Amino acid sequence: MNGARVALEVFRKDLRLDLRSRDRLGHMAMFALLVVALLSIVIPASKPERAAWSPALLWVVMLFTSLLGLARSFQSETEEGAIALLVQVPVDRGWVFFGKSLASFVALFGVVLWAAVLFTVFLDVDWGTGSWACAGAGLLGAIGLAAVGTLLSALSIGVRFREFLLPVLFFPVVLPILVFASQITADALAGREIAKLSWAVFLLYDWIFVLVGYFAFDYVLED
Amino acid sequence: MPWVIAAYAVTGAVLLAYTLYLHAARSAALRDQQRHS
Amino acid sequence: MVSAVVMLSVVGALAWLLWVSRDVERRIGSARWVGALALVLIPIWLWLVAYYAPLEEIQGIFQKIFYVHIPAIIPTYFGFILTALGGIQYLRTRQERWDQLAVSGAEVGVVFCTLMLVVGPIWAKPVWGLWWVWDARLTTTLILWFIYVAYLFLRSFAFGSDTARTYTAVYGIVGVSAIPFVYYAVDLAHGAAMHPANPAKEGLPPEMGQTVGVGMVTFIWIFAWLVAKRCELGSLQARVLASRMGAA
Repeated sequence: MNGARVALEVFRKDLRLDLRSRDRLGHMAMFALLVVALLSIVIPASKPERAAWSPALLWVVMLFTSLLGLARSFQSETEEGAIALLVQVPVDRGWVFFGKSLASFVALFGVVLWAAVLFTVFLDVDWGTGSWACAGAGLLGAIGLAAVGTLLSALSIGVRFREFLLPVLFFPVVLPILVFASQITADALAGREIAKLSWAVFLLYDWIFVLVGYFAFDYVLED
Repeated sequence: MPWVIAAYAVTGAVLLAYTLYLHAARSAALRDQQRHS
Repeated sequence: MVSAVVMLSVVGALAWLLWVSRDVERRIGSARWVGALALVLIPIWLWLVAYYAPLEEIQGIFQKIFYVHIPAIIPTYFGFILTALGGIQYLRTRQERWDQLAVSGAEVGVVFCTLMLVVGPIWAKPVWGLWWVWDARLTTTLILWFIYVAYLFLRSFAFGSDTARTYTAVYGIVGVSAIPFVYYAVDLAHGAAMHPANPAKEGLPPEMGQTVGVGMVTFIWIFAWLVAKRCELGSLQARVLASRMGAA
């Protein structure tokens, strides 16, 4: 039994679940729509102000929406009592982490794209030449949120006050994602040059947390 | 000047409070231990 | 010379804590010497602050808060390092002593972190006119505080001591990995810091440097004493819990 196959199986199963039931994706999309709509009504109407705030707001919306989706990462397994099956997998349990976080990444990247559409429509964002950089930020952001979120979601299975605890665990750790992604997006939209170092450190962050998730999962899924 | 005193007083108070908490919790644990042995 | 003494204290405190935590209930007796050392250092430090350190030109008397703010830095970060170290070692060896060290590091660390966040603004308001700025150093300390608190919440909300220990060990590692990125990210976002530049680089008058040094050494040993006592408490509580469950 090969680790990569296990990861792929877990990924496929989660993806199928997401696409078939549309619960997780639908709820995240609806939530994002609602929040962006509210924000659009509340923030000042002048174009420069909206342009100034949009990058940060986009990523705040991503933060809360991803929390919603990530809290459900292990819901199907918990409900069916299938956690034990994940634990008994004959390979490094880190592969389960890869499968799960990949599925979350797909969902989150979808949400990034959806949020970008919403911001274009509601807040009149003009992506222009910055689109690729913004997409890159979206990609790296989704990877980071998925990696950290999947690990922390597993770390809070069966813990009391999970709806309170997960954000409390999650937000301080993913602050760098918020900062990097919104800075890059802001720079891209304003036509400023983005330092290579920003990309490098952002990539490093993602890499480190993917590794931490992989190695930690062996210990986390031990019940 | 009151600011300066406040800074040192707060530091002292917090450290003292934590020390007292540790002491109280320790006494409670020792008492519990007596009861169960 | 001053930094050498501070470094020595850090290494000494770490070594002592690693030794005490191996068999805390039997070795905690040594804490009385550390406690005595701290009690001797405190009045010396305070005297130095009041009479030996010169009055600074620009900030006046408010600069004296510096001597109670800076020493809190090492315990704040030391605590978290203990938490991460304890966590890693607990996952590797499953020995309870490492977990006790981790939790104690977190609890005592959060106390010092809170002090930094409270005393800092008490200094900032009269000197800069602001309670708070979002520069890299303050923000990182605040985020560190949030991570500490999250760790402690996770600890108290998890059921089953084994689960709690494992989960918090992992979160400690996650937290310590995030901190350097937080610092870098905020530095990037907010550019030039408002926080006073590192005095060591600017060159403090020797009397000031020495006073800060004594303060740092004092706080390091207070920190070490508190961590050791907290380890002892944890060990006692674990035993009470075990005997209660054994009797049930």
